[in-house]
Amino acid sequence: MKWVYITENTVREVIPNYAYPPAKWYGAEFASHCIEAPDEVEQGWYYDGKNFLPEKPIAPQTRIDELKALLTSTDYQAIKYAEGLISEEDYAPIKAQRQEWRDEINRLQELEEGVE
Amino acid sequence: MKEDGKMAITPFSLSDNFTMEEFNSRISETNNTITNTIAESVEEIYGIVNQGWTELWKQETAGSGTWIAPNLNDGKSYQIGVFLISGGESGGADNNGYGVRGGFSGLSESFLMEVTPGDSKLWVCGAGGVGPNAPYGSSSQKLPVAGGSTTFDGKLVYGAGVQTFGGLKIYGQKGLDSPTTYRDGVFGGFEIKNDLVFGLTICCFNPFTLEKILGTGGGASQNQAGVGGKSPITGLGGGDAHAPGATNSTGYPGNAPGCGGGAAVSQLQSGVYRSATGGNGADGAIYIYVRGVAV
Repeated sequence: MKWVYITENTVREVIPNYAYPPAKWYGAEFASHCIEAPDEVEQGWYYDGKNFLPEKPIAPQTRIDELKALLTSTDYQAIKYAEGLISEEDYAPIKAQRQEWRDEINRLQELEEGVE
Repeated sequence: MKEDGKMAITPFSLSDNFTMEEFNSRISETNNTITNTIAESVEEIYGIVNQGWTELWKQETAGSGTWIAPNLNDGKSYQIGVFLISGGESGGADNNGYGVRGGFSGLSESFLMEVTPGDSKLWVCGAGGVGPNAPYGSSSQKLPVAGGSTTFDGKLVYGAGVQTFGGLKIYGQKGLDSPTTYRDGVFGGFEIKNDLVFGLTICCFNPFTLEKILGTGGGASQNQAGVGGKSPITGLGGGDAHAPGATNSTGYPGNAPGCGGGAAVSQLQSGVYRSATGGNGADGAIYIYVRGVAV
């Protein structure tokens, strides 16, 4: 375990081990923002109040919007396939990718509905 | 000098019919006496008491410990001046050949406090940010790593890039974010009015020694490495960047307290990404000064 200094849900500083525990060495205000964290946590990690994550998680709706944009950006290929301009073989990986995006959208929407 | 601190000057007397020559002679004798007495008192005072600030103790590497006030004033309390510098930010690392900025500097804080011989004060000297590595074999860009905070008796100065305001990180001496616009580091409160570069002038100054301090590391773009912001007096400061091209690169560390490390940029060669490691930020420092007591 290590100690880290956190503000705005972000690990700002990893406390050096020569300054453990922070409450002994630093002032009360600074030490009040220091908590213990797993060894793998580094500066810049996100803390949700319970868990540490390498990056701030993307909100489900934001990810859904990103996936819909990806579908939109590949619609022209679906049209070309429907019009016979792309072979089934060439279109297969695009179709699979688009299905993965749809599946992820569905999962995220179910998650959102579950939360509500 | 008498015990009450007044000068012992013997009043002169003149004969009833003194001449101007006699008067001037006695005046001259008295002036000499006064001058000699003042000289003795000045020597007496300045021989043991320094009117300026004198460095009593310093810590210029990361660590922690306890400072104990020595007996400098016959067991009585005295005033110390404390000057804190936090750790500098490391330089960034990029092995795509795009470019990355150097590390920005830590901050400083100064204050006075009364201490009594034997008083103990806890201190932590913040470490410089450790330069990140963009590893050999995979595309990567790593941003600079924050420096460590420095504290003395609970009084704190945040490390470079630790404290934020309005979502922006705070530094003593900041440089440009874009290494493609300008790569060289800056030093000592360097400021450009359009806010592209901004140094906290009073923060980049040691009021006890009247020296400018704190510089940023050099940034690097493809094949072009900036130099660190350095003191024109000592030649020390932010680390230089390293951008050798299609081979491994390592930025240079900051070499004056609180200064930023240099950036490192390498490029793809024969389809393989080369390692790039940012230069370490310099550790912070703690200085204790005294005046008016025997040292």
